[in-house]
Amino acid sequence: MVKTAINLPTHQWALLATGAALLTALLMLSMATGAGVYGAAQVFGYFRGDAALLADDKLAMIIHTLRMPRTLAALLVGGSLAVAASLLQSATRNPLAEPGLLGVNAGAVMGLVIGLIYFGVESTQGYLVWSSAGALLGNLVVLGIGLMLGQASPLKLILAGVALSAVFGGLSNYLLLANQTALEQFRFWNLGSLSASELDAVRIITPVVLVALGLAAMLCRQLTLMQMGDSQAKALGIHTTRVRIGVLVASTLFTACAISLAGPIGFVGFLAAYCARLVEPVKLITQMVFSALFGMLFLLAADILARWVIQPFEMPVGTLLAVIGAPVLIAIVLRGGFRSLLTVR
Amino acid sequence: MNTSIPSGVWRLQLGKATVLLHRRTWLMTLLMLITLLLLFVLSVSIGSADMSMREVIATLGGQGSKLHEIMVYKIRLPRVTGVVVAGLAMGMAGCLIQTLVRNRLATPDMVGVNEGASLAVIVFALYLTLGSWPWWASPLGAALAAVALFVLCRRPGEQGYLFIIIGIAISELFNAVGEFAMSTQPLTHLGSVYLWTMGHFAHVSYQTTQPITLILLALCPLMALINRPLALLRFGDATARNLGVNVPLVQLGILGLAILVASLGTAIGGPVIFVAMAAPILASWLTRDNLAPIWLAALCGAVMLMGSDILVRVLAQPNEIPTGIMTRILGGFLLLFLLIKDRQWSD
Repeated sequence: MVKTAINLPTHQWALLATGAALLTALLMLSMATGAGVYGAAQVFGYFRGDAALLADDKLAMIIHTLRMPRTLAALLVGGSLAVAASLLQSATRNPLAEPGLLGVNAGAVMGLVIGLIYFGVESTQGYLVWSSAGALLGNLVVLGIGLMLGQASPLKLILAGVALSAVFGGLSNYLLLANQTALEQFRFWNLGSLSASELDAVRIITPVVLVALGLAAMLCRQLTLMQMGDSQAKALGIHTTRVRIGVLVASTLFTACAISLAGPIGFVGFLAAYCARLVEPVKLITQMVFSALFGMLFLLAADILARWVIQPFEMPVGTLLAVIGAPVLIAIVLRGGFRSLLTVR
Repeated sequence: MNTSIPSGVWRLQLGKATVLLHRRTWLMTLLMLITLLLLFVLSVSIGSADMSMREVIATLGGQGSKLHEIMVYKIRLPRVTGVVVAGLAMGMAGCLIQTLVRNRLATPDMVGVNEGASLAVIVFALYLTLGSWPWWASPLGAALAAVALFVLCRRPGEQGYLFIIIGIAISELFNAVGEFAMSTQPLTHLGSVYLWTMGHFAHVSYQTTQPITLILLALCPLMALINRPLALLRFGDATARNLGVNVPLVQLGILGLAILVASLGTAIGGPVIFVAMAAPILASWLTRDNLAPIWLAALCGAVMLMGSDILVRVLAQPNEIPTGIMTRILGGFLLLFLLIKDRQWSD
């Protein structure tokens, strides 16, 4: 046996390895499918440095502008939304929490739309700044309401998120329709889609996601202890307010990154974080690793599916995830799974 | 004979029969009717071409110019009547389901019935080239949504927020399927369907409003019949049974009626959300009574939808913004307010 610094039970190691293997397989599949006649053989030949394939401009174009950016974006967006959901779930002690259901996604979209219309923002950095502002507003409102409602009503917080989504979504639709921007392009983006991802955007977003990940990792220990309740955590010397602010910042950054790259994608964070909690109910750092893995897996799989279901059209991946995620949400709510976080294990 | 009359009530003697009328309720009904009439005239007078309210009244009285007649009858009235009928229907449906489930948030627009109705209309409009608006498909989708909801939650009255969350998940699902159906078509092909899914009344025609109005009118006697047992149901199933109400029959009747009315209301201008939730709340606030009569809730629905429609048209000039976007913004605030106010009610 190899002694490791991280103590994980064997079944979790096995799951991690399986997940990683599956992710690799999906990565290859994602690079090998899509518009264009090129299959797996050509794509891998290109990466191995096959001279004939390297000379093929069309193949290079397809790899660098279509398949690679959207594959990388799926990883970034899926991972971000999943870790954000894990953070929000433990901060609000609400197992249904996630940026989409809590209205943070809608807030980020509204921020981006305001930047787009009133300030003529066109760069990825600009998108990031404006969607961060919107996500921050959404987070502040929903976490504030969460504190006000107390932890006794997980379902009520979700309803507050629905109300918030309605307000933010209504406002952004209003602004967009009133300004006659490119509706066709926005409509697809507004449903959540990875098809328009660009390599430059991925390059800009990646460091931001890494910063947010670092922050999340720093918060893990305190958040784990805060599961026992604020007064207990305070007795252990944890600055609960400081931790909450940290969660606010990290969740804002994650959501803003995801929105800037792919538009609002709901349910993926919730699904990933929920599954991660089934794997590891207590230790948040392990939970987040699994959450990120599941988020990447789910979004990548959904994106491959979205390219494939209604060929030659493409389905917005957010729509596909809603079709899958909504029944799962129903099942969890009906089984009373939303109470599991409230019971002390 | 000297019977005592409760305070706050008007006594009306019609031959041998005596009718007691709740003063506040009837005053408020009158107030809402007048408001609706005023908003109606105001709504007709607003538009890309100027027209004063006096001119509107003259034209409606048959004494306007030719141009005004065309403007009023061909362009503006279809929209305004569509808004009124849809608002009335939504208010009615909301009141029926809220009373049945005894939950203020349990309305067709929150629990997916409206989304189901609109999904059916979208599918029929996109995949069957019918040439006319398939408004009649809406009850199919609404019934589907309702069946799904009641299979999943057997006792909605006792499940509070759980029922609502399941309903919201169902509406997300229907919404996503609708988006999926639309994403297989190019936007130019979608045309007004896309705006309709957000709750838009600009393209409403008499061909849709007329049959729906007739059906709603035909349902009115049933409404009157159901108002009394509906009022008794709020004391709980057991009490209502003891008071001589056939509870399962009445419940089923109310449910069927509510679904039908909600889907017809949706068929006109699309799934306008929050009106069905807000209308009975306004009605019961006006009457200071937890349970307002159906007609008042219906009037409140019409007033609110008309108000939102006027607001969005005035604010967004010269653009056309779907009315449903305005109800979404206003209704979202209302829902937040209700949730915060209702702090002690946990799930």
